Amino acid sequence: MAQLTLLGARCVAAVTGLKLLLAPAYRSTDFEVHRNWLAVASQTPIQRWYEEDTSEWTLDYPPTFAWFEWLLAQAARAVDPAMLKVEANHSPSPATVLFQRISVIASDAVLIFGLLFATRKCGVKHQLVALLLVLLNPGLLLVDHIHFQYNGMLLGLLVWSLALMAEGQDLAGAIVFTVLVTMKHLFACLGPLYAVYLLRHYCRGDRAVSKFMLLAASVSAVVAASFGPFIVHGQLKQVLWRLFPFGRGLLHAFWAPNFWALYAALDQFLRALLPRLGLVLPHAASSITGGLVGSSSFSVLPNITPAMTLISVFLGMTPCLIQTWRQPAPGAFPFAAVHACLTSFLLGFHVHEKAILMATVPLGWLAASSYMTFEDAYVPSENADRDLHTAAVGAGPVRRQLLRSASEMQDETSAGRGSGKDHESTTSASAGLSRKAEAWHQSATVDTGTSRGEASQLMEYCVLSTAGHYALLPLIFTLQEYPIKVLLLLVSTIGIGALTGDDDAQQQAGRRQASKTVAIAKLYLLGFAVVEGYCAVLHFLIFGEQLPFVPLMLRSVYSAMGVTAVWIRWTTRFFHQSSSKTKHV
Amino acid sequence: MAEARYLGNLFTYKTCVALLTLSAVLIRCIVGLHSYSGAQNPPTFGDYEAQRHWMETTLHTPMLEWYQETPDNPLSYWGLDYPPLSAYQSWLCGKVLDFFEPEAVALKSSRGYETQSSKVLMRWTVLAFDLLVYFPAMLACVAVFGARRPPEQRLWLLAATLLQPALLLIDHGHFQYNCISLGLAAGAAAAIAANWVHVGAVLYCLSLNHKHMAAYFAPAFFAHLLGRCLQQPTFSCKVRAVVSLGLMVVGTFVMLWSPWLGSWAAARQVLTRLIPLSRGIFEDYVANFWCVSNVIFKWKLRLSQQVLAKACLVTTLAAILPGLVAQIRRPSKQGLLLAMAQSSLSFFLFSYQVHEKSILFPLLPISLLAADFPLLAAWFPASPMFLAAAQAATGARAIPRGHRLVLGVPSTGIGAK
Repeated sequence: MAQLTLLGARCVAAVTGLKLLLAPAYRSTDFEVHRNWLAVASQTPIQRWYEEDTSEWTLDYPPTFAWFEWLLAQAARAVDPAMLKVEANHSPSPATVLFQRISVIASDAVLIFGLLFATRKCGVKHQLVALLLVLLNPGLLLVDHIHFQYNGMLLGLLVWSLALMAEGQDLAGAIVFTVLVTMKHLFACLGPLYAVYLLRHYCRGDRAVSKFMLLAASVSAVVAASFGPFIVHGQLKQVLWRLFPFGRGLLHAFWAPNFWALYAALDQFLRALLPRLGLVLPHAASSITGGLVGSSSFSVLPNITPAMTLISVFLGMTPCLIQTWRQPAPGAFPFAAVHACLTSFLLGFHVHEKAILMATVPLGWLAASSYMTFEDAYVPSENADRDLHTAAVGAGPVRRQLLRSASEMQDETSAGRGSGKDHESTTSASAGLSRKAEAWHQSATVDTGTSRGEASQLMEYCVLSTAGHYALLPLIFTLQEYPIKVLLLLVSTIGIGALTGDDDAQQQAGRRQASKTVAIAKLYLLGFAVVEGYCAVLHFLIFGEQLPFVPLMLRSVYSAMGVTAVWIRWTTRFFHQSSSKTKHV
Repeated sequence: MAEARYLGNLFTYKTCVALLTLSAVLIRCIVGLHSYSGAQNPPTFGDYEAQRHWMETTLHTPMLEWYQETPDNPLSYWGLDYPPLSAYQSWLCGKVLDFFEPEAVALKSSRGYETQSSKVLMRWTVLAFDLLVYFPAMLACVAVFGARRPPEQRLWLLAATLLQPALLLIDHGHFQYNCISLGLAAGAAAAIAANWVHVGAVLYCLSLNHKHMAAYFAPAFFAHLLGRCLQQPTFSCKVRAVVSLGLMVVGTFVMLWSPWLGSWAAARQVLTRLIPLSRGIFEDYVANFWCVSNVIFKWKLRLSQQVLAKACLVTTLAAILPGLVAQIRRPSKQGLLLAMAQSSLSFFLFSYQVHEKSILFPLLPISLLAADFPLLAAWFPASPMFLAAAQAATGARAIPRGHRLVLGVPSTGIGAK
């Protein structure tokens, strides 16, 4: 079992130092939101938590998060009692700023714990790559440590829960997930997947009913602990009203890079095109680019209602849900979860661009599995065979190849073992395995060089991370932070791109040309430099202050293309997987 | 055969260099988020205001008056006291600021001018000079001095110089342009080590003319170059080598000083601005010999300034001598760096009127020697970091203490590789 290596520990320490240095950076109104919640949670009785509206920044996260704020407030009192005043216009003292910044950095311990837990059985390099990919996630640094939010902690819970599920500890995974949802209800989009999987994987066998009861009781207990006090005080309706404010538009002021951004861009295009062809616009003149939240409608294409987005999210998740229903494999669960997050980001209603972190953070951990070694993959357990087969769902070619050979070797050894219960023969078999592992290593390196039909998992991650996080850059609009946000993204894209090790493998196999997919992906990534160059400089030189929505639209549409492409690849892979499985069975 | 990989066995050498360089820029930007020296601290503010004021002066007054007391340029308020290249650089930065935010460098009315946008512009000018001068110089140094070393050590060398915590803090936190003179001096060392002695001599003269503190390296460069000239086979070759180097040096100086060489008085005025002998042997707290021994023997009370100045001269020369002699007799690549370290450290410890920021000059060659003496290069920067932390405690400084220590940590990691 791999411990946290010295290099890993240094990586954690360096990132923590970086976060500390960011303390005086720009902070959004979210900083005051959380400051106000601290005040509300500490100064008012529970029944007023979701009613208090002295400040416009009212509590709109579920109760467990409010409990977390209450806990923080206990420490805040010692730092600066003035921080805990419930007031509309608060100007934070330097101590308050530092306290809040440090509270985010400290709560990131959950993320670090989640990652270490998830990679504790992995090789040294695998763990290091996972730590690098997740802790240096540029989106997370921008949103948490400049913009100001507590996503690191929440995503740490998600990674922990997914890792528990992947190890077959369903009940624990479900409980952690419930805690997560009662902290931020955005994660409820994973609910259907968890439900399907738990029903099919956990609640089965002889004691299916009692297991189901146990699961239901545990989840209810968490929800009751979180919401209970509010229900007792008759506040449930008020809480729900704050959590689900209706009457917002399909798109946020800045379009999140999802499918609807492409839809809206098409609408804009048609709106400009149709009058020139002599056609009349179907809808009355209206603008979606006005920048007002809530009042947006399309001029050519049909308007999209919340119900329609809900249906499309479900449709988008279907292949993955069906696959999970047919083959509820622990190893495949985290991949399915990332797909579900990506789906709701892509097709959801009034999605905020920050929600991409839900997919990119766990995917950073999963993408590191390209650095999985043979020993990692070979986990002898009762149902290892099934796990290995099904874990290949959603995994990249390297990993799939690896899993395939691992399961083949397992077949061989179990055949050699005969009864398979003799300890001595197991040890001799494992000695044979290690020899085979070496041979596998060699064949795998050749394989990655020759079978470049698909880009590796890391290349997909590189595209998704760059595209998704690029759309976060407009969140931080101050001049001073401009080079910081661009460099954060640039460093991470170059780093991930280099990790794919494409050039190396190509050279090794004596190939000059990269495969088509990789070439397109690289071209697309280079395109970001062009887009940013235009949006940041060229547009203002040409148009000055005119057409201010064009750079924003261009940024989000270009990002949306990448996010959508990655989603399509994943979805087709699930389709492919389920169809091939039916043939198999 | 697969390409060798570094940094946790993950990246190729080229990627490592790219990532390291970009991260070094990123850290500079992040340090720049913090406040600068003398922020919102009237009436004289701090070094940030000094630099801004120089831009204002050089932009709006004729060259001949830059170092002179005039109604437009009262020398009592941050009068220019750096050599001509600094003045030219101030003028260039002033032009840039004037283009984007003229109020920031308006004559007289801009005193104590502090806006977020002008701060960002000022920060970016430092960053630009860092990228134009210091970064290329360090890449050149690593290429020259690390030529025969394994790539892993070259990477550490690059990290040790690009992430030098004291430089990060003083240039991008406190606010100064040390990266220029340090970069030029390092470039000079690299050029000389690569046998481009004349280029090296010019670069060193430029460095000396940006910040006269670069004179700390003068004995080393002088001894090394003289030693090289003496290695020529014949006497006439030796003389020719010395004369050609001398001509390069004089030529560079004449070009830089030309505006003030018209009259003896003008040149003298510049010189007196550069070398103020009226100040004491040391100020406040400097971790040098005089300051430390002052605890036991009160130098300032017992001895006159003249005697002290002589004592400084004698001790400094004595401390420099060994390296000097060694380089004249047997000049070498590594010896040049060692002599630079030795002479600058001698100046820092024993010379007259030392400022604690001068530690940057000994730090440069010591960082470049990181591959030879990893432990020294790792721990030596830590001591000025403590000094800086102590200064933060005396107030009037920008970056919180904890943050200075955060920056100090990566450097100590180098020794423990």
